[in-house]
Amino acid sequence: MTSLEQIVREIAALSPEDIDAWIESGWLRPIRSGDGYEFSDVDVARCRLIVELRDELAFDEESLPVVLSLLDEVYGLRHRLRLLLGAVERQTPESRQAIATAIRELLDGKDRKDAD
Amino acid sequence: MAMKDPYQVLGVGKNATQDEIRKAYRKLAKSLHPDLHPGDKTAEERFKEVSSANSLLSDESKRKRFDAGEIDAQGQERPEHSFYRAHADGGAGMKYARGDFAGFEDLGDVFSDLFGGGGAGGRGRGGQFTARGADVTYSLRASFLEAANGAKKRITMPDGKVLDLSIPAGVKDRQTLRLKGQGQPGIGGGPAGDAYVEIVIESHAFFTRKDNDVHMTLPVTVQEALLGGKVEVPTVSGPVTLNIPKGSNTGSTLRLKGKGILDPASGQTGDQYVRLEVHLPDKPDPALEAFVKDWGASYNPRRNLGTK
Repeated sequence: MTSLEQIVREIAALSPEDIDAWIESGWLRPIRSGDGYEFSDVDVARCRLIVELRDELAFDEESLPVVLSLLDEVYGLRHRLRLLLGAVERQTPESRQAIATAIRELLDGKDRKDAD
Repeated sequence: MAMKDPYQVLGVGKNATQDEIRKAYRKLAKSLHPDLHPGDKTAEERFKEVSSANSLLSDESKRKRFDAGEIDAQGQERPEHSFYRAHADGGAGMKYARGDFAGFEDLGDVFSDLFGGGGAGGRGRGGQFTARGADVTYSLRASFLEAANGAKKRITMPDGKVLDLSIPAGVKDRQTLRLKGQGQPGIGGGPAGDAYVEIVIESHAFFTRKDNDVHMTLPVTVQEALLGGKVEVPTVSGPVTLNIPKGSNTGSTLRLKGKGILDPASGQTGDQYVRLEVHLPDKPDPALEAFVKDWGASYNPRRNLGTK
């Protein structure tokens, strides 16, 4: 929904060269149509995040990719976790209780029965 | 909202150097940035506080004025924007969720059973880990006319794959089109996810859209309004001839039936509404001036304003 020109206008500390470099390294993944890149809301928010990590939090070229990839992993895991919790929520009270009991047992270090 | 003392917020003394302020800010920002702490609800408020304290103290002239009591700690807030986590924590961030399932095999068979590809469970041949690829969302701008009439758009996906996307006639703003199998690749032979492309319709110079009807304002001359006549009007499907009735006025609205936008659900096509607007010549016209000078009208368009 946003073009490269709009993003650069909106985020002052951002240059078109930054965006090109980030697309090149896979940090940003917009689609392209005849008129240029098409940035979605999540792409724009991500541009802003990278700018803040770089300019305000002073992550340098070497640490920035590490931070980004860890963040991506965290968000991916949170997404899966949310799915999993949503699935647990749909179970019968008995099944949920059984899951809760199993978690407590695992936390208490009791040996897990081998599923296979 | 009462603002806290920016020195206290950053935890520095009144005579801290600019360098100390910058360092204190960075340290706090790293531990508070909301996108680095997606689950912490308070992080955003605290980060805003820290960052507004920093924007005040990191600017030496602002800091001097604050120290002198000329300005308070307020009004230094960064412009509001939504943080990345607001987007990434929903499904929209999945296109950046790194490698998706790759690297999670070690979490065991249950993981692949639960999140695995298709209904057949997550284990492929020989108990190998398989999983369906994640769905990803994109946005694509379409012009007003492309959305009204439908269009083919050639798009290049981030992985370089080129696709021809058919935008159906009558697509609505923010409507999502599904590209089956064009999401992230599956793992271990699992099926690929889907791509969802959100269509964002750009505004038009003179057409606006309300549901499936098109509205526009048509300038007409005094002569056309008074005497009526045929004029050419643009529609989304090309120009048509419109008959202006005798005695029309600014605000008169005419309907062009079936000249609006197709509603794909019902198969009906909307109408175009043309609102007339009487325009005088751009430059004063001596003949018109001479004519109206002797026009002994008793018409008062301001009769309802309670003035003379």
